[in-house]
Amino acid sequence: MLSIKNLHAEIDGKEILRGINLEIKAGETHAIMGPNGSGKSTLSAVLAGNPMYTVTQGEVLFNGKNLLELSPDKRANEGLFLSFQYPTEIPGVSMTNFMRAAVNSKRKYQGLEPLSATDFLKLMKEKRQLVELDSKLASRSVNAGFSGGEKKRNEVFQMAMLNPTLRILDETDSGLDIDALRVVAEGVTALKTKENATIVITHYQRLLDYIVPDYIHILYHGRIVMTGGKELALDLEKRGYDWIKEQFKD
Amino acid sequence: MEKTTAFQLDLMLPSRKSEDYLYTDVAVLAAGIDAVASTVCADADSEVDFVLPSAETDRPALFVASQAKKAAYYSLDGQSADIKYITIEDGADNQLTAQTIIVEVKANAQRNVVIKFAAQKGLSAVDIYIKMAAESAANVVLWQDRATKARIFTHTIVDMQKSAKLNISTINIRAAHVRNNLRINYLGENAESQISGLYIAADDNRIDNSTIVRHAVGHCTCEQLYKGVLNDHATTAFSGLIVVDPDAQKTLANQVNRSMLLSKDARAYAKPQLEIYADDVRCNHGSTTGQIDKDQLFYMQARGISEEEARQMLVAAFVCEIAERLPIEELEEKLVDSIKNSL
Repeated sequence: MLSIKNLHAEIDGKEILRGINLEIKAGETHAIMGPNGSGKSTLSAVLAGNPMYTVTQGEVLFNGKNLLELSPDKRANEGLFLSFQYPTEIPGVSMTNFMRAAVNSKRKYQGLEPLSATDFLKLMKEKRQLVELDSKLASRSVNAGFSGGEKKRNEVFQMAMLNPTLRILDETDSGLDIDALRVVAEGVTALKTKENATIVITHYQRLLDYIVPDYIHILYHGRIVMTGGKELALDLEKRGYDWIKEQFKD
Repeated sequence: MEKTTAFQLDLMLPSRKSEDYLYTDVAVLAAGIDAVASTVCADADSEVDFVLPSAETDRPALFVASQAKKAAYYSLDGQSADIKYITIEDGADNQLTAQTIIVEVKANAQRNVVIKFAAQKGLSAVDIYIKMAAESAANVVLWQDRATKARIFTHTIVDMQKSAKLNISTINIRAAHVRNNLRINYLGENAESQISGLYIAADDNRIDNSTIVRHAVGHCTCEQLYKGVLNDHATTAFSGLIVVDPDAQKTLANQVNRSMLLSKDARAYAKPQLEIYADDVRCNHGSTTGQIDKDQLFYMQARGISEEEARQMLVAAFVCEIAERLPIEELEEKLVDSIKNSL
């Protein structure tokens, strides 16, 4: 589904990704871990098409299409979803208007008619219950006045509404207490199918108890330096990142 | 003051050196004007003689000399949700059409007034005198929506007596050149006003708003919010002066101006001013000028919303705060619609 070959990317002239290679197939869950500054969030931002970053080398194919050529909205319409580490607040834009625009953009891209008002509101109600967001959600402004936990649950709600094939979770667990983590993780797991794939970017092993990966990749200084199974997470838990830094210091 | 020979009647215009008109070039506003006429609204309750108070020097001499000698008088009494519409009709090309409107809001009244600017020809100069009796309440809207060739000068003075409540909005969507003066005088205690302004300017539009709120007595409240969106080569200015006299204790005054620029060549000027002579008051002012938030734009695109649609939604969100402050519901809906179609 996703094929990343020799991806290099920079921001403000500083190279962060220094040759990423990664293959992801439908139905798989890949975790990307690594110390701070290794390029984890940069990778998710580059895949989503954040204009602050410049790709200097490499290619990314998503369902056979050249992802890097697509604008961020087209990437989302194609089925890519990024759950932001710090979801942006948009006062004055209601969740209803925001989601309706997003859902109908994707439907238009797929050659479908926009959802009727009734069907859309039904969909909103069904999906928000998945992450225990209450009925006030519809009229609230996007992420404005949301607690940290609510913001992360709101990301999963949006994921449920848009039904993406590639789900990228950027440090979804940061700032969450155990209960919020459970709700978010259960939401993500409930939406997992044989057709979609998940990239879980995390610093800590804790989330991976709930969202169990098939593969764990360790990112250090912009490269994937090690790949293993889910046991790798327990290793990191015990030893921290120092042994990685030792083994792969540039 | 510089003399101009461009105008047949040889009236004087303030130069750019006059602080109040620093951003409004009255010579440009009055360009091509070679005749003056005055008119009285046909639907007025009555027509009254009018003489400009001699203390009134707060406008360019052009608009003093052309001041209409007869005013349209409206009396608003009782409590009603009905809207009194006053329409400013078309004048003639190359003509300065002056008119004066006097609105008297009687004691304990609660009324709505909408002054619609439909004029597109020449330059319209409209003086609006609103006298609010004690305990009266009025919702006033100066409404100009896409009279794109309009050149307008408005000078509104509101005298508020004890416990009067005013909600006044000045809406200008896409006009060629506008200068609005708004003067609020607190003459009785416990009066309150909520003042809003919206300016949407594109192409070479110029929309300038100047407000002066005078707290001559204490215990009065004033809250101002002026917001605008600019595109292309448009220029706008907001000048907000709050004066608090020495005995006007317990004054609460707040003023906020926010402009959003959609192009590199647009210019939004802001000049907030406070002149405070009392010592037990709370007065704030704030002004920001900025562009569409890049993070918000990317977040919306990351959800599949096209850049164009995302921009429209963000501009509408910015401006809707003013629509929500309109106390007249049918106008609020109309405004939201106009905003969508004007950007």
